[in-house]
Amino acid sequence: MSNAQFIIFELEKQQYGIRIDFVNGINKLKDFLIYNVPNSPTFIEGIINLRGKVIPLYNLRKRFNLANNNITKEDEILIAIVDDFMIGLIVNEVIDIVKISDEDIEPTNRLFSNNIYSTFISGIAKTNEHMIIILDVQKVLTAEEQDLVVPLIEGQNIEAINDKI
Amino acid sequence: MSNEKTTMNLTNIKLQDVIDIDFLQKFQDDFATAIGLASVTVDTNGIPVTNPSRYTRFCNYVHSTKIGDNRCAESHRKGGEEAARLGKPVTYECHAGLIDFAAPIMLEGQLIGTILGGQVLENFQNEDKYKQIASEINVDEAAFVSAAKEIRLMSNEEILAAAEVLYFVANSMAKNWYHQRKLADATDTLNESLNQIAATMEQLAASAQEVNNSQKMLNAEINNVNTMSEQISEVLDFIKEIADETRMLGLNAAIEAARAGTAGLGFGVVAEEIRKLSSESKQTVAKIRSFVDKIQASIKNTVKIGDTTISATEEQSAAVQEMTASIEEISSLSESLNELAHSK
Repeated sequence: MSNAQFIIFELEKQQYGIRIDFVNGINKLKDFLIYNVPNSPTFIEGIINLRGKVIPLYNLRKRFNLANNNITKEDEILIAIVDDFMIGLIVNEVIDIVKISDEDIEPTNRLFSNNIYSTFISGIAKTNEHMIIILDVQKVLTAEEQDLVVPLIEGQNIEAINDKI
Repeated sequence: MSNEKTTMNLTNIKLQDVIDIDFLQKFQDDFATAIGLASVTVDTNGIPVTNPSRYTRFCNYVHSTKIGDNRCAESHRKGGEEAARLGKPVTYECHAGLIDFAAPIMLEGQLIGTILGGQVLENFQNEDKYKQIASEINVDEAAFVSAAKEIRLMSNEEILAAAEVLYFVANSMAKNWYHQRKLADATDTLNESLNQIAATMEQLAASAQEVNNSQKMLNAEINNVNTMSEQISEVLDFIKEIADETRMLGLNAAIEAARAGTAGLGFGVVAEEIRKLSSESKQTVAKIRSFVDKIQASIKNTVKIGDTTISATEEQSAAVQEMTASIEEISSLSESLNELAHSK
């Protein structure tokens, strides 16, 4: 596919893009109750109940090691689809849906040496005004993290969450 | 205006206006008796304003005929004119050969009357002169000569000194009256001006009060506008919320359309239009909000200026009140002065 659609969102002034195929929808953070999960990684803000489904919330600011990593009530949740389950990415704001051709995306292996923090960056798209970091959402969860997070979801059903309130 | 009033018009001033005739009569009588010479005071037309004091029998004879009376009047007129011309008492020989004096009563250089007197002689000359006059004025010669012999003898120096006394007293009275009259006119003007000032002050106080009231009403109205702009802000929050919901709806619709592949293409176009609309609404809200902010800043400033106006008019009112009190004090002083000036 040489001309894919991307969801563009902003996180602490930087724009990121995720291929629309991996996005399920967008919600407002303030519309949800966040349930804390004990013993979870620090970048897991908690879990939410989205139309009957348990969704873990990723604090991308923490995941990306940003200086300012607190969530705000203006934040939005981008529901991404990783393999067979959905995760919620907390972002400042989803701003656009754009078409970006493959030629406009610079692969990261030319820009970065392989390190653990940049593996989920699949490339940099240059538009007229911005540099957009294209995320490989499947790599946002490392194999180890998947091992941590997946049982978290599978181990608890909705009833169990509701009981906790 | 004050200059016109302090310089009085003296052309129609009568002797009776200026001098207390009763007092002058008494003084003239007493003086005539003391010194032993006759005296009468006449106005500018030669008409007596006092009764003759101590007229001699000789002169009564002269005045008993029409021709004698006329000659006396002519003689008095001439003497009076001479005295007025010189501005001081003069002595002269009358048509019947007696020594008379004329003392002008002047006010600011203008003649208002004359004190005439004398009916004395420096020395008795001869009977023929008086017989001649008696025949001219148609009176009995023998009786006239006998009356002439009764005429008191007095040196010119003595006559002039007596005239000076009458001149001094009458002119002092005139001058005194004139000063009092000027004072009265000045206090009248003062009173009038003070009344005008007081009236103006009242108007000033009233208008200051009016400005104050208007400004207060204006401030209240501005506060209404402020409340309304706050309500607009609330509505804007609501509109922004709707625009935001619309944006989310558009985005989610676009995602669904993309996921539907070619089947979702048409729907994708609609979704994009919805996003555009919501974005425009959001921008419009921002614009309106910036206008509302400007309005509120302007309102704040207006209220501040209004408060300054209110405090300024309140100060003005206080100052006017103080001034009114001062004017009242001056007015009562001026009234006292006026009473004093108008008392005889």
